Amino acid sequence: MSENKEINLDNENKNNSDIISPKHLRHFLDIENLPKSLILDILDLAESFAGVSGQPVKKVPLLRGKTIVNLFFEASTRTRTTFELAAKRLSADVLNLNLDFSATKKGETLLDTLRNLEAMHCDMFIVRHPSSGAAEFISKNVSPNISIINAGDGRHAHPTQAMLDIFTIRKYFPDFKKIKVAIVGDILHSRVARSLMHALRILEVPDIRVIGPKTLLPVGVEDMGVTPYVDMDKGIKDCNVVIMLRLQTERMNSSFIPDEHEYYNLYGFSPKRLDLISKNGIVMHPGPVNRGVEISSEVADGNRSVILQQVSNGIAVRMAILSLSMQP
Amino acid sequence: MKYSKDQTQALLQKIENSLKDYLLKNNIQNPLIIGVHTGGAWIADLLQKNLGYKGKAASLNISFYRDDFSKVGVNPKVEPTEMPISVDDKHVILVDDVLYTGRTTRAAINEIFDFGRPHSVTLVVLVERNGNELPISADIFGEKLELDNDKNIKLLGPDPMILEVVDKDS
Amino acid sequence: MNDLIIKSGNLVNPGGDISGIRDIYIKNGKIIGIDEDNTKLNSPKIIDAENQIVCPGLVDLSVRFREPGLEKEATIYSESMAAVSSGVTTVCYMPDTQPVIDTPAQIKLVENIFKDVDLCKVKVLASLTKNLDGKNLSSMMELKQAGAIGLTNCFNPIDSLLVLRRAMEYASGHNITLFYQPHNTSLANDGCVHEGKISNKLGLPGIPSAAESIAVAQAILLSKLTGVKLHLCRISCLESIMLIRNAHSAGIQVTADVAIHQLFFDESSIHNFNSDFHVIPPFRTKDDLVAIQKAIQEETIAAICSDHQPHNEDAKQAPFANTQHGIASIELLLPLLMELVDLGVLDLNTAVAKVTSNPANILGIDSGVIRKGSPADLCILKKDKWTFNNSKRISSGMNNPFTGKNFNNCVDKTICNGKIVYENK
Repeated sequence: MSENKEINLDNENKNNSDIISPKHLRHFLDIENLPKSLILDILDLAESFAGVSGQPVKKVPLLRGKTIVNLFFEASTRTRTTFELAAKRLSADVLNLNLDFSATKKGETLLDTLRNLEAMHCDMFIVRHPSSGAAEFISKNVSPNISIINAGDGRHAHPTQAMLDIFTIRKYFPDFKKIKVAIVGDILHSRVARSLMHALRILEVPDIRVIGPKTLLPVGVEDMGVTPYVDMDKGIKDCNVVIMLRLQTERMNSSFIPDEHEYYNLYGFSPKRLDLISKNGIVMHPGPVNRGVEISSEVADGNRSVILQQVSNGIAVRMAILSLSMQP
Repeated sequence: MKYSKDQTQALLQKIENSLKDYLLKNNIQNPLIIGVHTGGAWIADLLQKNLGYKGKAASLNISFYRDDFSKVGVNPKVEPTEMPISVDDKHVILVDDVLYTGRTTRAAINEIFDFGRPHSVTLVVLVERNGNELPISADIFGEKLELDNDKNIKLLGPDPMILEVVDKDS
Repeated sequence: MNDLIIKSGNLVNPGGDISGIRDIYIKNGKIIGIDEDNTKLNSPKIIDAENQIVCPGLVDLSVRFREPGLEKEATIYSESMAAVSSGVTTVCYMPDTQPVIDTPAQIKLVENIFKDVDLCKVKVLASLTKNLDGKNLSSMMELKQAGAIGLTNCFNPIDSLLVLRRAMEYASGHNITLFYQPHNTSLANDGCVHEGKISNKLGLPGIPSAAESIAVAQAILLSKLTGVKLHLCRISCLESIMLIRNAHSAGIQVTADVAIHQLFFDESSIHNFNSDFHVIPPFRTKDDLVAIQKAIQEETIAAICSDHQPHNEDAKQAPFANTQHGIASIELLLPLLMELVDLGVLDLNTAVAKVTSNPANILGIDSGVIRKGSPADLCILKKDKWTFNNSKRISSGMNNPFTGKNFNNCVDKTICNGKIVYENK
């Protein structure tokens, strides 16, 4: 019962210990409890940083002397690279650690790994982990001078991806209160979808839709303030923004969906579906794209697609988040 | 304490005249005038116009270059830096409203050098006050001012521009 | 052994005929008289229990001791101390130790350790299948003859309904009670919280209520088919309760219990990934919580147990899904139960029945009741405000979401076989 209340709550009044002041975040773990004003501030700041990428020297000395660790317990190229670039453009020193197959497999616990990195006097950990809640767990167990940025934890949250998505949306549709947004695909397993639903709700997007087969829609997803659709054609009708999610191939082997062919027919973004969305509508995808599975090449590479802009916006948005979250 | 509109205007006129003399004396033809956000940018725009150059002056936002970032954090509302032309081999006229500790000027010079290698940099300020912490002083200034440590001087504007002395914590 | 007189206590004795303000006379570990002027006692120790509640020693249907095998987490001694501090005098020992308790020799070993520790009585639940593999039946009759009070497969699945049927049939023929934890592992699908709002919010894999209720339905129908004496362990959802009610009204003899913590929390308690709330079955919805509270007011759920599962600190130091499940709260079983009385969820008599006479009846043992000639297993309870925290903790288990909680009642003394095994100081 209380959950329901929480979701309709005015977020400005939410007590969030991760926010120190409007200019300082303790950690960046989740969008759910961020006030709307702070989300807009991050977007504005990212806008300023976007200018830095246009300069001949794509670098500002804001985080000079700080050490940032990319702590990845799960493989990722795109997210890690954009975080690395963002950190380097802020003049921080960056250390990349892929722990997928190293220490944790040798029986070293997550806490031991953390203690070791703390001993190296780092200032910030950017964490990706396959378990939901891992970033929160690390933030509770790390020494107080270190900030944690969640770069994706299990199915729970991927807040920087959601921030760059809404940054991209705002470039096309400055007024969030006037748009219809649809998220299509494997909502159940998607941390991107979960964070996006929170972000869009906080920004007061009036019509948020999630589209997918019932096996890939979470039970009770309506509680997150969204409308579920099983029929994609109905779901994307007149939408301004359609966000396609990546379909993991292993879903086919575990009875979530019958096969790729049927999935593409029902939920793939084919060129003819472009006619259904709003005339000025855009198509997004967090990447990496499975061409011909969830989206056709024609759409992915077409003029309605903003997929590559999402990638470059990711750097500016992450610069904004890193600089707001760095401890003195 | 507030300067009157006319007092401020007189100071503006004074630096404009000094700058004209300076350019003439040093035989500088096409300077690149750069103002530091926000007060410096207003003055720079004014100088750009009154000296007869076309367009708006360049502007710098040094938020990303501040050395006290870790103490105060980033202000999310950062106006972007606008550098319409290359700074390479230019005579840069760097304009700010107040020269105090010198840290803003240090940050601005750093940022300018990230855009290229200027031929020279000349510092123009409306007011140079006591409290310098770095070996930086203005080449051209409206006036020098002795203020108590707990006072700040700031420029209101842009139209009209008026200087005001306020308590630091206000 | 001292003879004892417990004077003027308020007897709460739902399984017996005698209650109210009474004197209890104890000799040689047995109750030899109630309110009789008994002069046969030999310089007895007199306990003044005026204004205190005296109830039968508690019978706990599920306790993990971790010994043998995981003594670094807890031992029979450490957890027996915790048990008697909560008035528990009879514990059901769960067999999922290392090694698994699936031979008569291991039952003897466990019983001998309890004899050495000499605090509370043990009833061993032995493994239903060899090494808890869920496929090959253990030597059920030999285990019974060696002292096993019943058989269980703990959390481990019995995937084949045919194996479950055979196990029930065989047990039924030898009058062995089956303790079955209903949990369909394929539906549970590696979940760690209730499937619904909380799994959605936190992005944690969920366990639907149907993973339990489907297993309940199967077990009830097979118990009807085979005639086995079936006890369903750790019920957590509304649907299971409906099925048990239906079974009762159809005349099927099945009993059920619930873990004490299931009467206090719902799924929302996990909101911050707090792994102290990681339990199996998971905390479910508010509606489920209300249904369970109602079911213990009736006979639908006959017993409340501690479901005590001690872990050391490491077990909870990981992201939620990677932590061990379970709560170590046996020492709070009675204080928590009394809180349910204070909250008006249960009346005092029913509350005491759920942890004494009812579980004793499920086990078929002469315990959980105060009567002349019975073993002197008793608990004396007093009103006293106190706070549970780590300095008060007796169990080796660090995993306790009740840490910091205030209580109005505490156990003053626990008496097992006429011996004072716990005294609150």
